[in-house]
Amino acid sequence: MLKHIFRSFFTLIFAALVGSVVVFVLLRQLGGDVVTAMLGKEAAPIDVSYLREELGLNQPLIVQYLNWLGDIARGDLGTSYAMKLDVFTEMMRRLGPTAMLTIGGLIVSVPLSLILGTYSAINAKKIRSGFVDVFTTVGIAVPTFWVGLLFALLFGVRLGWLPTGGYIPFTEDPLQSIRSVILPVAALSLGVTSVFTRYVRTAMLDVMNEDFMRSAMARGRTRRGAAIIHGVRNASIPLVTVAALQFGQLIAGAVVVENVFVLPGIGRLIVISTLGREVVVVQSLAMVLMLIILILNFLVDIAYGFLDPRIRDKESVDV
Amino acid sequence: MKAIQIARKSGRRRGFAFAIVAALAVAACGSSDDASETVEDSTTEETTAPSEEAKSTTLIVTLAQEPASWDYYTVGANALRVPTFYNVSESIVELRPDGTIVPMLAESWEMSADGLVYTFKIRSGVKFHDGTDMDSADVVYSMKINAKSPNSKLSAPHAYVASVTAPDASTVVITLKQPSSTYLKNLGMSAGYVVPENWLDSPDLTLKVMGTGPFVFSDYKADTTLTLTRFEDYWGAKPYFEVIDFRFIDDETAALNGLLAGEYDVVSKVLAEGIERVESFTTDSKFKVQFESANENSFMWLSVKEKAFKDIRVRQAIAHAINREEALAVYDNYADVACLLVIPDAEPYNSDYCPYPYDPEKSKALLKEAGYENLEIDFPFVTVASHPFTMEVLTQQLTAVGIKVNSRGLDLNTWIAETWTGGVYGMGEVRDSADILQWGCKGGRNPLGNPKPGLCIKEFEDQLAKADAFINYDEHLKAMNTLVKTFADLAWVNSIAAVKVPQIMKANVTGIPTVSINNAFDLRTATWGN
Amino acid sequence: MLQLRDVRVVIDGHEIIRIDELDLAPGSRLGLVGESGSGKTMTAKAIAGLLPDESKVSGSVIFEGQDLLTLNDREMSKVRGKRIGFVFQDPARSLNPMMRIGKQVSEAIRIHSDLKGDAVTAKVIDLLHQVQLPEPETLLRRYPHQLSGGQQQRVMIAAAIAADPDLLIADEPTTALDVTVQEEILRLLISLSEERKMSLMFVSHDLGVIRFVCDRVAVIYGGNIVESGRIEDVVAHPMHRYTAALLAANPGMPKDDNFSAFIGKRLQTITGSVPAVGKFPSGCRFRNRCLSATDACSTMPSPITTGNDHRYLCWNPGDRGQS
Ligand SMILES: Nc1ncnc2c1ncn2[C@@H]1O[C@H](COP(=O)(O)OP(=O)(O)O)[C@@H](O)[C@H]1O
Ligand code: SF4
Ligand SMILES: [Mg+2]
Repeated sequence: MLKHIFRSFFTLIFAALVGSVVVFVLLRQLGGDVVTAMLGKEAAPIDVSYLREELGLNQPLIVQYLNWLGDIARGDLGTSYAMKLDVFTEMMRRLGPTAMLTIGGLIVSVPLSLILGTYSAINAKKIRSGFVDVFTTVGIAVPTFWVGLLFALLFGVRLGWLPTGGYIPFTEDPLQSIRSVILPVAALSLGVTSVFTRYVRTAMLDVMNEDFMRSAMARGRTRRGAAIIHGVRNASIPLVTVAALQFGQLIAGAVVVENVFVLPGIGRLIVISTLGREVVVVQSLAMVLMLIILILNFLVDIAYGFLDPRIRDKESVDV
Repeated sequence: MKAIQIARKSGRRRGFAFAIVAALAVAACGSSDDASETVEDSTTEETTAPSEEAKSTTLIVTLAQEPASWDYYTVGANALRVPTFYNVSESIVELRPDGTIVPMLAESWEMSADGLVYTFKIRSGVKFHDGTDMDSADVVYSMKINAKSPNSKLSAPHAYVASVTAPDASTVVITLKQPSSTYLKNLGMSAGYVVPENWLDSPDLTLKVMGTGPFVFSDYKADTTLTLTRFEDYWGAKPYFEVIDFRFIDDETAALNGLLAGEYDVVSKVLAEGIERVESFTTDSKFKVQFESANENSFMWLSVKEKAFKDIRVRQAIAHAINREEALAVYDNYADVACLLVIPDAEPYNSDYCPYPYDPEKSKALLKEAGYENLEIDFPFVTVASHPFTMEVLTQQLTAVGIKVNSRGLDLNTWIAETWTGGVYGMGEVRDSADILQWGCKGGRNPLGNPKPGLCIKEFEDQLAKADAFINYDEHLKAMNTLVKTFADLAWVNSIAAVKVPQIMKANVTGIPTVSINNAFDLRTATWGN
Repeated sequence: MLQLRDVRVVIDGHEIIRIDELDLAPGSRLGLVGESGSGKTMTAKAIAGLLPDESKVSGSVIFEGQDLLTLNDREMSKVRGKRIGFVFQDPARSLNPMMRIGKQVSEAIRIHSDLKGDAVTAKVIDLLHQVQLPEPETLLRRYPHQLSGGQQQRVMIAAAIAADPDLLIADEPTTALDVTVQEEILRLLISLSEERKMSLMFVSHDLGVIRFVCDRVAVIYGGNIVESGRIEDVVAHPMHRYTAALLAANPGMPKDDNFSAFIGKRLQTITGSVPAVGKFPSGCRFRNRCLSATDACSTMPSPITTGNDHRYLCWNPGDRGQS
């Protein structure tokens, strides 16, 4: 087990390094740099290379990369070029909306997909499951920003129930804070729930064909009872992997939703920083997100053991 | 007329999504009510209860853009000046919307007969927001650093400055190397910014704007809000509002929805996909729509590096291919045709001179004559705001005369790096300041000059230098009139339209000027009316 | 106590089961025998109401006076586990790998009785004792994969009888196990059925195993019950040619309780193989493999019943006539 963890950890670090090089190189493919972004069309016809010099942009790329990596290794995410904001502070400030979105999205979409996917699997051959199929098809096909717009217009403008945008920190006013993320979470959850429902459905259909499901029914479980009590837990093994991948989806969706609902989250920070050529900010954020996703996958690896007693035993034998 | 359909279609595409969303919203409510009517209902409470609102001393204003930082010295974007010029920072003199120049931080001034020496009497009792007193040393410091700024808005007008001195605490003397009819006017804009001595060395330089204006730059949360609070030590008349709550909302749909829902008081600019909704606000008594003269023209220009464009017949052919009337559709007609690089109403030297009116037949003939019947043009465009729609219209019009246009969408900074300052392009289109004086070879904001060596047309350069050097105002105007015509004749740059930017606010908001100086969103006189 | 009448199961247009008559008396042990693919499991599933969704079922399955085919899933779930217990072929796959033994054994108790907490645990421990599993107290905290195949099947049996059903249907319960374990399980089933006065429907492809366990037998082929009767009668006087062929493939079956004598010889193959679904001939399903087939066999034979309810469907019945 220890060896397993050690190896996973090494893979994780290596993946993060490769990822960081990719992000670093890709960012340099964009035209212009932060000096372009600061001066815009107003750049005077004078030599502004001293600005680049001051910001360290004239150093060889490899030096820039290693400097950045060294800072990361010391736990320093750096500062933005133009505003001179500490990336870590800025990230923490923006964690609120993004965390509320992604966690809210998980809280809504995971149970909902489990219910819908299981329902659809139990009634696979019946018309009832068709409604779920329609829901998921629509949910997958309709772009998140569009759903966001619809919600903002319907519940924000027309009915006036909830704010059309903006974010109130939880610490400032918990009730208003939750109100401000209801529509974004709903918009975000629709797509994620739809995709996840399909995974649940597939996993449940596989499980429904298992002999032990028949045994459970033979002991007096209804189809639904067996599905819920025996099916969900067994289906959860393949689903946990998917869920870890879906987390990436969730973050991507959060970027869109943050824009539609004007939530100052991490997603917007990445977009704005990319547009503003704040490469250090983007690199560091990408690194943090990559590490989160990689660590999540690493935890999923371990979670298998806890979910599946067979693997748990096998690993204890291995060591 | 086919082209109009294209432009309209492109507009409709934006409207389409919105229309469906709106339709769904109505349908989802299971009501047969007209959507806009119900929208009114939902906002009735707030808007018909001015007694509640009239008391509010906070004004909530949405801003579409946010600057890279608040370092006024480096950052060129309008986004910095929009919320802060006049509100937070002030200049030596004030340029009024009618073109007159009135005292601001200078109480009075004198110009020597030869137009070379300006003597300013600095206002006493003016405090910076950090509590320090402003004196002539601050002004001298400011003028000296502004002249060295990498931001041409600050530095270009100081090009002819020989010296800046302060004989005493309330006097500043600026000596020019040659007369400049526009120098004083420019001191009413970015070139005249006054900051406290050594502000450039402050750690707060990037984090806030420091000035003497009626509002203090008091709190900024990136991507969220900028809060201005009334400066109680302000030297002049204090504004009505105690707090200006600027919200950064780049998504126009979100901004307009929030306005409809009563969450914001003013949407400061509608530039892109929101254009189509402007009309619905003009007919809604709960709201007021103003059209701000943005001091911006939409124009297209040709790269000096392309061999084909060195032939004036090719440039003329392109100029003749442009149908400006039709292009106004991009702005839902909230714009005026402008053949000259001048804001039609703002400048007295404007005329209706239009050397190359829309004439596709002539365009084709010129191309044939020049031997460029199979001309191909690389056309990078910015993928935000009105640019994609302008691109569609221009592409369509040029294609109609047989030119192959290879358009490619870029994000703003890539576009600037490749087009405005880079030189990797065939033609460009932009909405930008129309100030013709900046188009000189040495003047600054000139994409034709990039990358160096650019295009220096002797005839134009000579006229430009002369026009600025006239001390006599009428002579100056006459020279300017000739200058802009000459520029249009050259057909390197073809102005298309002078754009008006809709501002939408609650009906009882008043006092926001419709002519913007130096891009300022001037809230000094804003208040609740009735 | 269990009577099947005109039970037909059609899947995708193919008639997979067509049983005109099959009876099981209270307290008796009925064997259902046939080659692989002859429809044994389908018959068991039809009784349990666990057929695939797409199947169409008609006829009646009367259990203790109630037609099970008229019940919906919820009503049927009150029959399964409580009144009819089931044990299936592959214990490793029939147990939920992620659930502890104790929970699976107690499942029927928790569903069908009001027992709670320690009372359930006590009953589970008792059941594990009854199926002769060692150290029930620790066993119930274990997971299926930690048990041997024989132990797993004992667990399945314990789970199946947990709610004291009147009938236990065991579908090839020992097929996946090795011979010595098989015998133990079979003896366990016999003793449980005797102690609890529980009827048993025992499904197997192995006539020897059936003979060891059961008092009556029904032979199934192509979804038809081709012959049924007391085990001695059928073995001594097989009337249907398929039964005869089955017996011929297992020559010299002694009539004592020596299990290894019954089991030593695996079923030898009968000429040809069981046709795929839908490929069975009309009339007598065995017709294409039967050495005694005549033209008459192309119509479905009518049933003939002789003494001791020995019933068969064959146009040319015989007594070990083939070979
Ligand atoms: N789910 C199913 N769908 C269609 N046909 C099936 C299905 N399951 C089994 N069958 C067919 O039904 C017939 C009987 O199968 P089964 O009852 O499992 O045989 P046995 O248990 O006697 O080996 C076989 O021909 C088999 O192919
Ligand atoms: S009915 Fe005919 S085919 Fe069928 S078993 Fe009897 S003799 Fe053979
Ligand atoms: Mg079977």
